[in-house]
Amino acid sequence: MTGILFDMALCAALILTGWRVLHSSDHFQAVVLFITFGLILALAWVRLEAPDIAIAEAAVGASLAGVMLLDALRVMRSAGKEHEQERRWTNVARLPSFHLFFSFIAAVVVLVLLICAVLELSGRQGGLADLVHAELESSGTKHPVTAVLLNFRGYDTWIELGVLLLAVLGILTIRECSDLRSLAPPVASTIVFETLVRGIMPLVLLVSGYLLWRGGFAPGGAFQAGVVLGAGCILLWMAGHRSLAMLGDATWRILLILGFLAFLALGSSSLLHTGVFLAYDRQYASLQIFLLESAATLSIGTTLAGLVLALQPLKKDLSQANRDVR
Amino acid sequence: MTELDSFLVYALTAVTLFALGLHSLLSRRHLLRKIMGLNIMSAGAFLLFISVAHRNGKEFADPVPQAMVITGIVVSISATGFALALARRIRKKTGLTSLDYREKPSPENHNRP
Repeated sequence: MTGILFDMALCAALILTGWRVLHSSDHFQAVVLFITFGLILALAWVRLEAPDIAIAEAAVGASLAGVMLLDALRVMRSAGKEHEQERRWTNVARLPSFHLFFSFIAAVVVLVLLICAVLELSGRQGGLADLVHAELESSGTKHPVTAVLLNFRGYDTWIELGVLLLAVLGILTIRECSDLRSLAPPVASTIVFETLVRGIMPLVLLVSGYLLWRGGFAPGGAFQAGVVLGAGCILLWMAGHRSLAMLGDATWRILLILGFLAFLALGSSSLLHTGVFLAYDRQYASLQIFLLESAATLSIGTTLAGLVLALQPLKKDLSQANRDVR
Repeated sequence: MTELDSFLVYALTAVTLFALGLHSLLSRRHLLRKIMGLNIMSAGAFLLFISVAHRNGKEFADPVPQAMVITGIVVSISATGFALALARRIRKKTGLTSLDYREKPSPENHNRP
């Protein structure tokens, strides 16, 4: 009984924070509420017995997305200081009432249709849990989620690494820079933060390695480990260290494509031997999965950190700004 | 019975979040709000998926949707990163923070090529 009450309170908190994120008048407040929303959602994943997602959500939704949004907010605000400009951004800008009416109607229609779908779903049973548990023995790993991610649906994970790669390539294209070495050096941070980060970094590496190793038999795995690693690289940058930007051009590119390439190499070799893409040899399955996961961890970490770092000021931007000031 | 109840609670929350996100995606002008609206929509979709998985699961929620949602979370963060990069580019090139070109761009960026 208390369980269901807690669920209801959690859901009310989710809807309320979601509403405030989208409709509060101040953008900064909205971003902070968005981070809060991520943390409450992580709690909901725990209640729904999905600890793997909870770890990923806490790391991605609550921290990484927060960093990205705060950074974007800083840039989108700072360029113009005119009073009217500020007023227009802080006030919640609205479209003409016709658009407002139309979007409200669209949202209500979608909501009603979805509620009907949910009510129809509530009578059904099914799912693939039994199938996964039956085949778990032959998958080369003891944790069902890792087995699905790396073995049964390895194809999805491969394509997903491709999507990550595309996102970084897209950002680099938009920024018109080919590697992170053309970034301006990071601003030096305070001594307190720098010392803190220096103390935390070994722990970040330890936690990342632990999550990767733990993925073999319990909640954890390549995604969570990669996200922790990426967050560590971003922390280093914020503390005034060059972080990923000190890597050579070739090293940075190899790290980016390592995960994608590892899947491709293993998939093609199994395609040649057995005629099936990404089929594991039962004898070596756990070793192959571990190698793939390690490569994916490095790639995910580099890519996610790259998504944030590639948006930092470039050397040429800074020199142009200096000329403008003079 | 309690299983079914918690399913309904989470599933209805999920669809509400989806509709909230959709509404703000259509009605907000500021690009950051649109991006946050998209993220809340995806959170709603994930929550619905996992509330079904929870009902179908044994000791843990059904692992197949769990794996898909983990993949989805990482894809949505990379999409968010890309969208933010595009928004910042729009801001830099035009001085606008929305896609409404009737708005007057800020004078500072207007003279820039």
